[in-house]
Amino acid sequence: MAGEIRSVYQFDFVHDGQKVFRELLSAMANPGQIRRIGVQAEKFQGDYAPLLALGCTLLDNEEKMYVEKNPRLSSELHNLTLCRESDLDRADYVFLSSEMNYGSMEQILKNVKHGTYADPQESATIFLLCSAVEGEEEMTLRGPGVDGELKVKVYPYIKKVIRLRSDLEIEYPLGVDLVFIDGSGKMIGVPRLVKID
Amino acid sequence: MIDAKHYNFAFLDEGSKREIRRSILKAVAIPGYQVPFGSRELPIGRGWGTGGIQITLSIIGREDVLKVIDQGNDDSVNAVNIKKLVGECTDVEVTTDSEKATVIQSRHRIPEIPMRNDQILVLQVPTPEPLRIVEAKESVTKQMHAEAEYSGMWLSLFEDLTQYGKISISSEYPVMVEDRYVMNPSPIPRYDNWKLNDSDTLYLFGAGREKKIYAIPPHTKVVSMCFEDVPFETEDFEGKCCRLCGATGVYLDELIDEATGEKVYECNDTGFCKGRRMRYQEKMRRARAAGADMENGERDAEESLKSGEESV
Repeated sequence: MAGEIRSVYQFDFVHDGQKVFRELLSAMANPGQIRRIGVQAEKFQGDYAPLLALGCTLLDNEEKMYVEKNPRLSSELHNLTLCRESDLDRADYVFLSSEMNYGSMEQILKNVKHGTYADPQESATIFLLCSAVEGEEEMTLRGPGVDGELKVKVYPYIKKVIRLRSDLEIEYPLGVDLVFIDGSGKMIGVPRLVKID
Repeated sequence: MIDAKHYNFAFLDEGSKREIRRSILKAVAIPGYQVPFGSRELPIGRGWGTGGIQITLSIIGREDVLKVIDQGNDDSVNAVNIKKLVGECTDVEVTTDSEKATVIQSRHRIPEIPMRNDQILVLQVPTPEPLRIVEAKESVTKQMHAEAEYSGMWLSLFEDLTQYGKISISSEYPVMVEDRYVMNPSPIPRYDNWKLNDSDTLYLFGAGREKKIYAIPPHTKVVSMCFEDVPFETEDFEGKCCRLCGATGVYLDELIDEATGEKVYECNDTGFCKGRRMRYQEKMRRARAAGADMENGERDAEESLKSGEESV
C-alpha cells in the first residue's frame, strides 16, 4: 500500500497566504511599524523561509521576479509559484536573500523598474532579507502612513538602504517600494513616499 | 458556510486574490492613484458593489469580523446580500457594531464612530475617475493624471461657482491626495470628506465595473478641492437632531413625517443610532432597577442622550 504523500512545506496558500498578506498590507500602510509573519514562515524550511512565505503570497505566472545570486531560492520560488525569473530591469518583485554592499545595492535601486508617470504601479517591490530588523540605529520616518514622525530603532543596513533610495531622488509617483524582513519573520515596509531624516 | 469542496474560501480563486492583493499594495504605496486590475465576475451585477466585494474577499480572513453598510444602513438590500455572500463563503462573524468590526465595507458613508488603525474600511466606488466630468476618454484622463494636469477640474469647480454662487457638488466631492493626485472619494457626502484626512485607518476603494483600485493609507494628507476665497463647506445640520436618539453633530437623513407633514431627521448611520438607543435603554433599565433614585436616573440618562454626550 502506498504511503501517505506529504508536502515538504506546511504553508497553506489560502489561509497562511491571507495572513501574510494582511501583515504585509499593514506594514506598507503603517511604515516603520514592525509586523510579524514568523508563524507562517516557519511552515517552510531553510534559511529563506520568510522570503518564501512572501513569494507564495504574491507571486504567480503573471509576474516576473529577480533573485540576486541565489539559484536555490529562485528555483524554490519558481517551483512553488510558477513565477518566471527575469532580468533585474524587468522584474516586478526583487528578492535579496543576503545583505549587499552599498555599491551593488545602489545599482539595484537604480536599475529596477521605477514605473512610468502614466503607470507608476509598474514598478518593482524589493524584499530584503536582513540579519535583523530591530537594531541600534535610530531613524525618523515621515510620509503617508506615519502620524507626524516616527522614531524607530532599526538594524543599520536598513537605514542605509533607505538613504540610498532617497539619494537617487526618484520623482514621485515613480519609485521603488521596500520591504525589510529578518529570519524570525519581523518585517517593516517602506513605500516610495516615505522619507527618513 | 457553503460547500467548501466546490467553492474556495472567500469565493475568489487564489490567482484572482493574488492579483487584487498586488494591486492593493501598489495602491497603498501610491495614495490616490487608480491602479488598474482585472475585475472578476461575481454572482452580483457590476455596479452593485463588486469592486468593494472583490477587495473584501481578497483581504478577509477567518478571524475577521465584517460589517457592511449601504447609505449608512446595515439592513438595506445591498448590505444584507453582500453580508450573506461573504458570510456564506468565509464563515466570518458579521456585525452591525462598527467598533467590533475589523473590516467594514461601505457604500456612501464612513461610520460616525472614528475608525481605528486595526480596522480597514472598504468603499464601493461607481465612478472612480474624478476627471470624467471634464474628459470622456480614459486614455486622456490617464495622461492628465500622469502630468498632474488638473486645470480642467479647477475650471469645472469655478464654473459651478459662477453658475450657482457656490460649489454645488453634494457627494463625490474631489480631493487632492498628498498634493499629487486628484481623487474621487466615492459617493460619500461632503460631510465625510474630512474623515479621509490624517485618519487612523486604511481606506481601500474598489470599482469593479471600472476595474480600478485605489487607497488612502492612515495619516495621509487629503484636501478637499476649493479656492482660497471660497472655503470648502459641508452639509449644515445646525439646530437639528436625530428624532430617534437625539444625536447632534452627525450626518442626518431628512424625512417627512407622514402624520404631520413636517420635516424630521434621523441618523444616517443606523448602527450608530441603534447603539446609542440601546445604551440609553440600558441606562433607563438600570435607573429603574435602582428604584428609589428612579427619577434622577431617568433624568440623567435623558440628559446624557440629549446633550449628545455619546455622539462624535
